[in-house]
Amino acid sequence: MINPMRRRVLQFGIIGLTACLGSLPAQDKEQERLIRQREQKLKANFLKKADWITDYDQARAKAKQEDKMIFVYFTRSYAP
Amino acid sequence: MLFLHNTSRVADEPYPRLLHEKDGSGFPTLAFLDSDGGVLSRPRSRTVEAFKETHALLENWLDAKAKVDAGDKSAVFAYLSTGIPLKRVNQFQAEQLRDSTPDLSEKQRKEIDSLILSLEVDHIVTLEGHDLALAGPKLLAFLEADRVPADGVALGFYDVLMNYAAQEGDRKLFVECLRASKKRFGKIQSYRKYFKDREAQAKKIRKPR
Repeated sequence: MINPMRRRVLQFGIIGLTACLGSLPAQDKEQERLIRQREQKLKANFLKKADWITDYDQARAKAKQEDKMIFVYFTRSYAP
Repeated sequence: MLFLHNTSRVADEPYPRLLHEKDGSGFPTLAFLDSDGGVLSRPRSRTVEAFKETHALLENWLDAKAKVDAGDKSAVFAYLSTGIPLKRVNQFQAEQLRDSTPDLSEKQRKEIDSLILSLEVDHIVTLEGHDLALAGPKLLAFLEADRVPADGVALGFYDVLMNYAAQEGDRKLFVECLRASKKRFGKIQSYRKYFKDREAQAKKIRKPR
């Protein structure tokens, strides 16, 4: 016979494990959605009109090499 | 050099807090950075004109700065006349450099003084403008001494003074500021509603009991 205290701990353990396993695919799906949004934004038409760099390290290295300023445009998927 | 940062919550995204690190808030944010990533300036608005204006000022300021740093006093006027509007030179530095450069002509000195005044007023409007009990009397002293900024800073100057006048129930001051502001900025299409609202407000101003 299982001690009632141990049973309760076991029950919480099973509930917790189920919750963790259940949330993993949800997190993955959210990440997939965010990646899709990011890629979609980077394909935007206005970005094709000029030579935009999307890598910060690369932008700084190139600016240093060419002795230029950087003009930065901060945006996100739902913003202009 | 054009750099686009698409702020994202993707887990492997490098520099997820870059906008915050550059003191940006909201999207889109535009800024000019030096090659180390330090913020040089931001265009005053999201227009081609503002981009060109800020870009030209920065180019001239960087050029003048290199000369001033190398001890060339003939570049002081260019350095101050570009660096003050860009807020790359503060009031103390500007006054010190102006006073230690006797070669500046009278006309140049007046122009620098006018830019310093704008810097001084902009500081009050931006940092203290929400506190009318603090900013109001300071700006009123400028108005009474006939020290009104010659550039766009005057819009904020009159705006805070109108708020202060409304709070104090000083209709005469409110109308004086409204007239002066409208005379300078009333023809700008985007300010039409602002002035219309202010005119309606003027009619309602009463001395507080």
